[in-house]
Amino acid sequence: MNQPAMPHERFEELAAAYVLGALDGDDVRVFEEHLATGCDRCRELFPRLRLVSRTLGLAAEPVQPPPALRARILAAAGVTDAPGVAPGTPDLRTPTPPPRVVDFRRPEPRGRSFWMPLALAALAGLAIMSWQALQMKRARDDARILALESQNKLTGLEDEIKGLRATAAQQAELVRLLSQPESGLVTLSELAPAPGASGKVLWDRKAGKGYLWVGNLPKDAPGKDYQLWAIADGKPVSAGVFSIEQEGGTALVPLDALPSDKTVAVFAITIEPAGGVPSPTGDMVLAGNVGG
Amino acid sequence: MSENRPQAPDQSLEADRQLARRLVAKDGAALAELYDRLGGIVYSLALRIVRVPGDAEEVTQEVFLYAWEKASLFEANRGSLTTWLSTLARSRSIDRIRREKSQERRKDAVSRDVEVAFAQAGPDEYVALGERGSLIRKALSDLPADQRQVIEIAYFEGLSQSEIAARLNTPLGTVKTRIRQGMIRLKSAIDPVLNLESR
Repeated sequence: MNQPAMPHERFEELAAAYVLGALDGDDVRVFEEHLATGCDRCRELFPRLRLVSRTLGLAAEPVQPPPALRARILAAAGVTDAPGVAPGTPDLRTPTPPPRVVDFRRPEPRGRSFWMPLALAALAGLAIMSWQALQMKRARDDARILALESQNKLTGLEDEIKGLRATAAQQAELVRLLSQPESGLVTLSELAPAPGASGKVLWDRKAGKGYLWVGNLPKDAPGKDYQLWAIADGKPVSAGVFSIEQEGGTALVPLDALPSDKTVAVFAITIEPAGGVPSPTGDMVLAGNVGG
Repeated sequence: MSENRPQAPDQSLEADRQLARRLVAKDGAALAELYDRLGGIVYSLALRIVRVPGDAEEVTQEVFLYAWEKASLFEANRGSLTTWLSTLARSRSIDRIRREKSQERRKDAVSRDVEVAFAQAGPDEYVALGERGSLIRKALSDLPADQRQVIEIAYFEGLSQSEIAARLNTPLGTVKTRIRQGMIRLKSAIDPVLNLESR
C-alpha cells in the first residue's frame, strides 16, 4: 500500500490536532492511514506529540480534593477505609534492612554507664522485632493477594469451561446440520466491495435455524455493521447482524430467525448502519443463490 | 540501547504493574494507595474541565471506580497509571460538560482517546509527577497567548478545530497553524526532560 507522500508540515498539523482529539471528520481517517504507512519522521514525531497531549492533563492547577471524597470512593467500591498516606510518608511495604548490631568488643570509654551496652542491645532487639513485624505484614499481604488471585484464577477457569462447553455444543450442532437431509448449504460469492471475501450458510430449512460463516471480510467502518438477508418470495428478510473486528476477519454467526415457512431463494450480505435496518440500503458484499 | 531517563523507568513501571495486579486481585488497600497517589491529579483535571467542585468529585469517583472494576484492562507496558487515569478523567469530564450543554459533538473522538491510550501508548511517561506538572504548566504559560488559547480549548473543552474556529471567529487555517506551532513548541519544551528516545 503506497500512500502518496504527505508534506511534513501537513503531517505535523494533523498529528498535533489528532493527539488533542481535535481533528474533524475525514482528517482522522487521512491521518490514521498515513500513520499506518508512515515515514520515519512521522513515526518519530507522533509519539512525542502524543506524550505532550498526555502531559497536558497535569497542567491543570493542582487543587486538593475534599478530604471526604476518599472515604466516599472507597465505600462505593466496597472497601473498608484504609489510612491515608501523606505525601512523603515512607512506604511500609518496602522493607528496611535490619539495623547493624552494635559491636560490643569495641572498648567503651571509661566512666560511661555500665547500662549503655545493655540499652543498645535492647534497642537493637526492638528494631529487629519491628523489622520482623514488617516482614510478617508483608508476608500476610502476599498471602492475601495470592488467595485472591487463586480465587480469580478459579473463576477464570470456570468461565473457560463454560466457553468450551458452548463451543462443543456449537460444533455438535454443525455436524448435525451437515448430516441432515433437510439442511441447505449455500456458498456466497464475493462482490466488488469485498474482493476475496467468502461465505457459507448452512441451515435447517424446517426449523429456520443454522449458521453463517464468513471469511476475509473488511473490518466494519465506524458506525456500520454487516447484515445478512434471506430473500424469499422476492422480499428480503433480515436474518442477522454481525460485525468484523479485524481486517480480513472471519465470523461464525448463529442464525435463528430464518424464514421456515417460505423457500429462501437468495442469501445476501450488505453493509448497513450499526445494529441493522429493516430493509437493505447499503452495498452488497456477498451473495449466493439457493440451489444455484 | 542505553536508557537515559531522569528516573529509573523500570521501577515505576514495575510499581504500576504491581499496583494494578493488586487492584485486579481486589485488594482494597491498593485502591486507597492509587487514590493517595493520583486522586489530586484526577480531581484537579476534572475541576479544570467541569468547573463545578461537586461535578469534579463525581467524575473523580467514576474514574477510580472504573479503575477498580477494570484494572485488568491496564497494561503497564503500554502506558502509566497516571496516563490511564488522566485520560479517563479528561474524557469523562468532557462528556459531562457536553451532556450538560446537550451538544452532539465528537463523542467518538473522546472515547477513541481512551482506546488510543491503550492501543498506542508507550512506556514513556515515567518522570516524577510533580516535575512533569510544573514543567508543562511553565511551557504552556510561555506559549504565545493565541497558541495557548487554542490548545487549551481543544484539550480542556474537547472542541474540534472547526469548532474552535467558529468559537473564536478565526479562519480554520489559522487555528490549525496555531495548534501545530503550539504543540511543536510544547514538545520542544518538555522533550529534554521526558527524553523519550533511548538511542
